[in-house]
Amino acid sequence: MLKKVVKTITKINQSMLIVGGVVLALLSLVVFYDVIARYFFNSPTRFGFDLSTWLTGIAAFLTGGYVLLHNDHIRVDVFYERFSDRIKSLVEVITGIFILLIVIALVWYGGARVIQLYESGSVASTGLNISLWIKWSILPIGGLLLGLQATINLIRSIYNVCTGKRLWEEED
Amino acid sequence: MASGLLALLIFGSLLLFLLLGVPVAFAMGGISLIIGFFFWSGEASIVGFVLGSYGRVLEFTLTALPMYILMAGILRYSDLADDLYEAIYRWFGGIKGGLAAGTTLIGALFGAMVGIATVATATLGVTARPSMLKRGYDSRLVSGVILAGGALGILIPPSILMIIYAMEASVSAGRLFFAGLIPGLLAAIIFMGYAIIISYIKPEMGPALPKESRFSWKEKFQSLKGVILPLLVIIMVLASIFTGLATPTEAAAVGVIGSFICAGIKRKLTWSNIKKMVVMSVKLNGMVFWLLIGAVAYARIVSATGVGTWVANLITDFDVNRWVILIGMQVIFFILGMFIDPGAILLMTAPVFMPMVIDLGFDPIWYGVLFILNACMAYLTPPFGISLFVLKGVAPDIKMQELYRSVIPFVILYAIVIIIVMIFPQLVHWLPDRIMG
Repeated sequence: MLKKVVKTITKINQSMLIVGGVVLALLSLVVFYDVIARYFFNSPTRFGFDLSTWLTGIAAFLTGGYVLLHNDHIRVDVFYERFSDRIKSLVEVITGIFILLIVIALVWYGGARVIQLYESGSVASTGLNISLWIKWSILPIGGLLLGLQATINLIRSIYNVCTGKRLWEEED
Repeated sequence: MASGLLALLIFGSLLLFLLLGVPVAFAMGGISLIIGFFFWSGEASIVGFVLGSYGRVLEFTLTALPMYILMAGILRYSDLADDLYEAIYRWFGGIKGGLAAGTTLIGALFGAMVGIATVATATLGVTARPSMLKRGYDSRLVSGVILAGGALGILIPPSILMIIYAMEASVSAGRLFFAGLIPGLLAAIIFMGYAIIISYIKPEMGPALPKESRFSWKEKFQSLKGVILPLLVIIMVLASIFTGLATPTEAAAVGVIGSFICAGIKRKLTWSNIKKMVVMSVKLNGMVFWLLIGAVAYARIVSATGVGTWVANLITDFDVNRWVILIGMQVIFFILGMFIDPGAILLMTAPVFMPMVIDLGFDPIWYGVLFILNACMAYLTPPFGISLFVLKGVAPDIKMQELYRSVIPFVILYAIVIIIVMIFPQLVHWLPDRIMG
């Protein structure tokens, strides 16, 4: 059961690689097209500017869990590297708590904003004129992705701190 | 709560958790949420964090980051260094230390294509290093030029770190780009000079190619073919900014398209290569942006609680010469640089340092170039300069000890460049003033 959950969460966050890759490519194309359209045809798109910032937002918020999955968030490992397995796990527990605080902020308060925007039916007027709640939904979604990854990391770390054993082996 | 105590709490807790090894982004974000909730404005501070992170990430200037990162990812796996090195080999092989000097030149060329420090280091570690070792070059000199030349990536425009600095300091990224060009070239020339001079003094460190294996003029000119593609990418990016075709942000998109075409011509767009490019870009991008999200929160706490001003006043109240404070900042950067990623250093110190720099009447562009130069050093300085590990990663046979020693002369040379730029601010201002008025 637990294994299945872990696998699913890993899979979801792993798939953000594709989302991120597509978004980065799309972003470059949109901005490039705008440069060309403005210079040669003097008619940049109305939505290009706004769309590019939103794509940047997607690539940023949605990949937090992916980066965490691969343990690639920058850290100072001067002492960390020398800690025993259990102390490392303890640091991971602290990390997990910090992340979950951030996740609560993004999911709860970001989510509240999305709902509020949805109910008021606000539409963006900055160029990419879609419903504002869609734009803001990258906050709770990104928070959720990060939170799921952090939660399974936290469970694994707590287990390791308490028992000194690994609940499951990490695969890369 | 008294400002002093709060300052201790804010800076002390960050330092503690960083040293424990909690990722920088989450330490900054988590601490800020806790302190903001209890010592500032409760729930409102959390809402502030959420709105602030959305606003920051979706700033237009920052759309340049993912694109320059993608561009770096594409070029990293396009094997451009092969051809460049071949050209260097044919042209400079006959000079003592020529290959080492040429490697620095390639580092500078890469610097003009990518905005991060590790791409040139990794690619040169794979291509230039084995070749130079085979020709009897001193292994420490080889590592040194690769590391020092690679770090130019963040000094010679475009530069990702410069974009982040420009945002923190509210200066124009384009102006900062051009401000870094002359100091970057100066650094490259100094490194090249060092490699050649040291090889003339101690010929065993960088022997010239024997006469019989040197190349004819025809062969030399033929090798220049390999320089065309990289130059094309550089010209596309820089010229699009120069001519006003694109803003520095938009130029990133031009660069992505250019490097993509370049990779296509080099037949590097296989599925496995594309996957490597995407993995590197998405990871680096996620890393940088979450660092920014954490930093937004931290900066708010430092300024909103008044702690930033308090510390700044504390330091300026000492009534020492402003140059002492400036040099003190450089020393702090240097020390932090031995342990922490330059991007994180920038974001951690900016809430306190930036207002001080302005207060003391220093020019933020010039100060930015000084910071970037310091960041170049941070990539090299033991024990945890990132470039050291990148080079070790692609050339596992090097001993860490040897790497540590190899960077010493180049760290000193970087420090000399910093001093030169401090004394002659015209080096920074001349070019952007000419171009942008």
